Amino acid sequence: MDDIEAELNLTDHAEADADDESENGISVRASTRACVPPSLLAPALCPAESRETGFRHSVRLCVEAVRDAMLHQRWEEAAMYMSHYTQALEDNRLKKFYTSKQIMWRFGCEILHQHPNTNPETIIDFYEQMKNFGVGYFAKISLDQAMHLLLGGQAEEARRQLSVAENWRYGKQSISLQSQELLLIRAYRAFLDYITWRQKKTLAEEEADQQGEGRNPEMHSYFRQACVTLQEIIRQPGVWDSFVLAYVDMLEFYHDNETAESVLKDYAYDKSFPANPNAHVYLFDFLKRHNAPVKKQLKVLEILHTLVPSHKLVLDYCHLLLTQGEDDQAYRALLLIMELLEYITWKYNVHGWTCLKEVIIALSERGLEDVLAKEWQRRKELWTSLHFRAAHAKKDLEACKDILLIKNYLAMYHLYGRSCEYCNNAFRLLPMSSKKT
Amino acid sequence: MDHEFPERLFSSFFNDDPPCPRRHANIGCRTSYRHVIDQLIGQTIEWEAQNQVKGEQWLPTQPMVVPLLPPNNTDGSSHHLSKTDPADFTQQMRNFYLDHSKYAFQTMGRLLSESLTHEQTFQSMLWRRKFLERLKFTTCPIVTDPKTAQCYDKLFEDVIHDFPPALLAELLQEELASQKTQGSYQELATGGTLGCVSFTDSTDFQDGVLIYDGQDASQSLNFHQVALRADVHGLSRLELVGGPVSCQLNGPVRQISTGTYTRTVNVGVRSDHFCGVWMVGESKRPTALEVIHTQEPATCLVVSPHLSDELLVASESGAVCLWTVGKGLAKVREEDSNLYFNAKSAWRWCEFSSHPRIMVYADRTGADLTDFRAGVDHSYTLFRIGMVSESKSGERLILSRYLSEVHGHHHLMTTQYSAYVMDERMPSIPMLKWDHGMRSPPMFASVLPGTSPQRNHRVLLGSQDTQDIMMLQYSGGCATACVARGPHQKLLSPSEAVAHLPVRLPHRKQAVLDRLSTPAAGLAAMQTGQHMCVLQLSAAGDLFYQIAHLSSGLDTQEPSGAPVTSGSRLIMQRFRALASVNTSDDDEEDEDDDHRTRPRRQKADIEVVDYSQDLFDASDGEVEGGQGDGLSAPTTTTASSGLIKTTLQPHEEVVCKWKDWLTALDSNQAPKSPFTHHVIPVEDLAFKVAPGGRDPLVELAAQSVRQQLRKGSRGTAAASVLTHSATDLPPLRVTPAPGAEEPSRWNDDLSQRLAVSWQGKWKQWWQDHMGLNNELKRQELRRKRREEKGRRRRSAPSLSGSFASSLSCHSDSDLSGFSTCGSQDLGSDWEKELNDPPVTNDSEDGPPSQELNPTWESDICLGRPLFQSTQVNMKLIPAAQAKKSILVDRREEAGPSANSGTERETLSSTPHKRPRQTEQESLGSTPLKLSQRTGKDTPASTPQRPSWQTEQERLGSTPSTPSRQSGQKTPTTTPQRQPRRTEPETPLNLSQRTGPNTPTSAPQTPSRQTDHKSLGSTPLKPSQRAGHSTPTPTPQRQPRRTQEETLSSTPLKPSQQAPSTTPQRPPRRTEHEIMESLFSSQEPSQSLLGADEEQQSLPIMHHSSSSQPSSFSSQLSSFSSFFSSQRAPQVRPARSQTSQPKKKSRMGF
Repeated sequence: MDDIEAELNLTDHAEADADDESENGISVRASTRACVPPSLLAPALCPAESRETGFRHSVRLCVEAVRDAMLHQRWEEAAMYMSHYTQALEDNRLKKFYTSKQIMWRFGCEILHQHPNTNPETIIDFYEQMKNFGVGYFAKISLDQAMHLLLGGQAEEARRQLSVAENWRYGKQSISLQSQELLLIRAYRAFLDYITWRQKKTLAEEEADQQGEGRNPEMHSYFRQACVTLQEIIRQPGVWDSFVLAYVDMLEFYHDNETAESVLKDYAYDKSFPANPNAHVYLFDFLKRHNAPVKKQLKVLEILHTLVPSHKLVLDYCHLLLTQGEDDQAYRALLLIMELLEYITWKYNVHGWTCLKEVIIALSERGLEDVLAKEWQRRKELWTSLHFRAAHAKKDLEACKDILLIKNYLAMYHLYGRSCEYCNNAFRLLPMSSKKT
Repeated sequence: MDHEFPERLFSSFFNDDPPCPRRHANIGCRTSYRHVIDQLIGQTIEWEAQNQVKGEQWLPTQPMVVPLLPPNNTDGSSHHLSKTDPADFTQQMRNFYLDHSKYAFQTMGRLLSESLTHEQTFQSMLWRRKFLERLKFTTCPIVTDPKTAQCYDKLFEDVIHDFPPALLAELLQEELASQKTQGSYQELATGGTLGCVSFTDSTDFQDGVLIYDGQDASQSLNFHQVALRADVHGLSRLELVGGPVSCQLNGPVRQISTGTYTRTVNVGVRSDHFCGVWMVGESKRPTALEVIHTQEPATCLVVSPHLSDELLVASESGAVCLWTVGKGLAKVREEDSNLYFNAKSAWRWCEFSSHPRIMVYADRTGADLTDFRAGVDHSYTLFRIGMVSESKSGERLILSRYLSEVHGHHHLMTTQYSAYVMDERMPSIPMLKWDHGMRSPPMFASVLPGTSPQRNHRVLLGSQDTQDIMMLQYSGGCATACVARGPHQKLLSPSEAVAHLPVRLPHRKQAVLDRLSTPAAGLAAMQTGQHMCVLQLSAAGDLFYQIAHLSSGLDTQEPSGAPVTSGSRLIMQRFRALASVNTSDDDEEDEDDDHRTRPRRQKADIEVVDYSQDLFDASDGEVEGGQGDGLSAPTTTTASSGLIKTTLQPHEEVVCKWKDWLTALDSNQAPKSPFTHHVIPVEDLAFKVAPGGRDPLVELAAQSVRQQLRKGSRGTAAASVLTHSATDLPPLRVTPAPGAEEPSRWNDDLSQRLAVSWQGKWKQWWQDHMGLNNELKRQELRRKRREEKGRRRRSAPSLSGSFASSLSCHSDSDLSGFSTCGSQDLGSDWEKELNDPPVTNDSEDGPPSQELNPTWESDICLGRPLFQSTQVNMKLIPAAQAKKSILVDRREEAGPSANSGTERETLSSTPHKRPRQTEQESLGSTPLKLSQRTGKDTPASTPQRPSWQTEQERLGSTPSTPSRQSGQKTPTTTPQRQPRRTEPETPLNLSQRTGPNTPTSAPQTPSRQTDHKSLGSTPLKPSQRAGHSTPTPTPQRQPRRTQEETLSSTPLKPSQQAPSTTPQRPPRRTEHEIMESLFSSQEPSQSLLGADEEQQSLPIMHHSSSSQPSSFSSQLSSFSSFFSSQRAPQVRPARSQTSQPKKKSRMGF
């Protein structure tokens, strides 16, 4: 975890002394208070030193000037100062040197991007210079350069840059320090391969439509190239939505559905991965596409619901449960949809309220009114203040008239009865709105 | 739409590693694109980056913040007292005894006063007084009856204190320590004491209520209605409606939290041990609903955005309670330690989330989502320090905020380094991350949602100590992933307004600056259409606002682009005017620039003049009234103090507001003693000036002067320099400066001795004076005569003679390494001078030096420490007396006669015999190697040495830069004989080695246009050509080299040879030059100006790490390369360099 003991070494000693001396609460509280703030201040970008040479002093001032100009969007001025800052690179102190390179890279890049007289070649040149000059950030800079090219529409050049960067080695730098970036470089290269593959595929399909037979051997080599690397990256814990979709897309094209499903399952259920709702959505969509049994689909949705109770697939989940026809599942649907509607983001959503109406009607059709009444009692307090105050009627009407109608119906016939404040207000508002329309 | 989750998220690694142990600096800018995502639109693929370059540009409508309220008087309270340094412990103790003497002494004093009589002994009185005097302790100034007091004092020593001083000191020190730390960071104030409630549902703000802390001693809470209005010119401004509604509170306000508006709105107010909730409505007077008292100090209070009358309270003990108004508190979570690791912090925070029964519970280590519905008890991690990628060591959560205005599921988390947008549906993975780069941690946050889907959401982060407000923009979050847009933008802070304020007296300016730079205490923002209004509350209770407007594409250039250029150009033009850079070439370039910049520059000038006119018109009345202490001459000062960077001019109304504010501040700050004790009335002593006391004539003159001043400062047509004739003032008497004293005028012994000893020849003088060296002198004289006789005997220099001389030269050179070094001692000038012949006059040489030669020789024989010497000392020192005659012979011929010079040259040019080999050669690491090295291979064979270094050396050693180096010379240390003998030789030596290649560069004259590298060789040419006939004029122009200079040129050898190679080798540039050219190529003309500027203010980049001479030359080389990069087209474009792989590889480290 965080190496906090090392950070607070000094304060620890101080605190221990204080504790030893007196057990009373005052000194303990004072020392805890005293130990907090220093660690909360980030170190300065270019800290002032007690005995500063003129050179360092002017470097510090220069950095401040650059920063100030950048933050106030005066890019010409920032560029001017930056051109002077380049001399800071001659500072021979190692630590400073690394910082100054980073400053050079990040500030310089930003200035060149924002400068009104900027041209793409200058930026590319800058990337090239920085790559050789800041070895410690080589992979990062290469990746950024490739992205810059991609955004500029030069996909081929970007791909070339990525392949060049892929083969870069520089001792420890490339093995341990920048391994993640190098992995990303390879992943993006593979992703570009996939995109080429996709283009070839559409071309081949068009050919196939016209001539009856379309075979493109080049396309398959792209598939193989992309496949290996994508497989590698999606094993690393992280968010790889684009890469996973690309990989699955290719596998599906070659009818390797089993691998595709296992990939999606790994992506969704691996404990070391973050809880990504999209992973479950992709799996659900895949199962749906391949007409998997409903039970399997329900299982996926159940897990998704525990992760994100406010996800829009919960509506599908409710509908699926209702179609099952069992009482338990209808009750579960009621729980799900009521929980969903408690989320602020669903408060004025017609689909949510329509679904609730359907579930309640289904319950009453099955004679499960007592279940509804029990559940309602549990939530009545919250729902009243959240949904069924008089003021809500007006807001519902502003959002969507259907919501007002549905809520009015539910309140009147299933939840409150005729004399609730919401209904009263709704009755007052409805004729007015119809007059307006 | 908020319920939608992005279909595809940007890729990212999920790290659970500990952060990097090194504490990184907070660089803070748009880092990189981070990640891209593809979108298939039709057949083409559009790429979208996570960090986008372009964003909305918000421009301030005024160059400074505008005060909304008149300043209140807070000087009597804490602000004033805190001026004593907390570290000054004794002063603090003293203050306590003086300020609170009642508490310190009263009880004991009363108890004991009855039994105290005046007949106490005074034995130790004397000792005590002495002791105090020695201690330099200030005695109490308020003692009225010293005798009694002294009696008390002596009798009771320190028993009389109500508190034992040791205990008091301990407590005081503790308190001071905590005050000191809190001075930089007050975590209790997180969240801010400024709230703003809009009376409309929509995002457009029209009317609302500001809720702010009075911040004065009275501890009040103010509700003030405001309205955001647009005036005739389309400029928005904030107006106060009516007066404030003020409530007195029991303690200082720490945080104000507001809910969402539905006819009424709840406002929660947190104090240390009290929390209160008020209800505010459009037509209602604010009413307090409920107040609770907490045992532990509360650290957070938030009002629910979803349900009215619900609040969450977190306290230092780690408990969070749901506070429903009318129903009291219900504990929903308790945590007695920090969440994920022990951060030793009692700070707790809580926020609501998208579900009204799920809350975010946060401390310094991270944030949890806690479900507190009945029967459900689970929580999961939303954000954790260390789990987010690229987290840094020491990073802590500073503030968490639920962004209900923007997106129902989004939370803002800020640390010292970064700001994260978290989606509670996807915990632990930030949707967005900025490096905000604020100097002190952001403690206040405000968010403004985009008014339409195309517009960006803006997050405003405010820091406490530095008053920074940073604006970050982002979009997305619903159907598409979150995308950060544009660069960070810093909004104006109150302390920046000082530069725009009218000129004031220094102490008043300081008072204003102090006032304006008090830490911030709150932040609020509102928007309407294209305008955004940001309010900032300072700890002194001042409320400032600024309005920014969204710049459309067209006027983007106008306010930001053009004026900036013109402004900076203006500054540089000034520098240039001051500098008056020579060479015609520069001027040509300048003209080019001027053609382009002139219209702009003129415009800027006009604008500035207009501005001043405006101000004067506005302030005319005041000046006429005679109390114009401000607003006098803003043009000059503002122009020089950097205001010119933005030519935005403050609106008249704003100027008026500031004027009022300043006047109010002045009246508030009337000196008022913070002490309540013992005031001595001094009204009787008031000094009164009789109205008719002044001489009417003087009065008249003074009036006329005043009028003239007024006229002149107004810049009217009659404006002219105030002359004596115009003012009728008597001319100033000029006292002539005393002339320089000539030491030779004093003939007495003492003066002479002193004068001589200043030159370091004291011993010599003394010997002369005492006649100690008479014998030596006599011997020397005799020897000289003998030599002259011998010389006369020889009629003409025969061939054999010259041969012998050359031989002697050769043999001498063997010894030169040992012998000559003695004369150039590095560290001991003094000693050397004692041994060297005393020299008083440069032009006169001869008798004294020759007379003293024997002493000198004897020293050599003693083998004094040998130090490396230079070409200055190429004079040969005879090792044996026998050779002396030949040497002297040769020496005499060397100067005037051409023959011997040529002879020597031919001889020395043979590689085997290197007569007159200089000491550097012999002392340099390997003289033979160096001398053998040809010009061509020099640079190639020393690849480790960066090219610029050799250039520097060459520059450092060139005799052609007399103007630069002459400044360093110290004539006293230059031995007399050096110039005479060495100067003719140096250039010859150089030219020998440069060989046949030199003439190619010879015709060039040393102008600035030529490459600096060739400068080294240029002066050699004439010497080579003219060497046959005359001893060349160049050596005489050449400055005598001081030790410093000569030392700097010790590594001269390779560089001496280098000139032959310069034509073949393209100038290599270091990476900084290349980078420089990248930036400068953005605006060539401008950076050219910048270079000029830098040359004038040379120390801006003063290299310190190496020794002085090389740093100087490194500057030179960098400047020269800069110039050359500007002018030489073959060097400038960086692209041409990058296309060559060779050079790239050289740049790597």
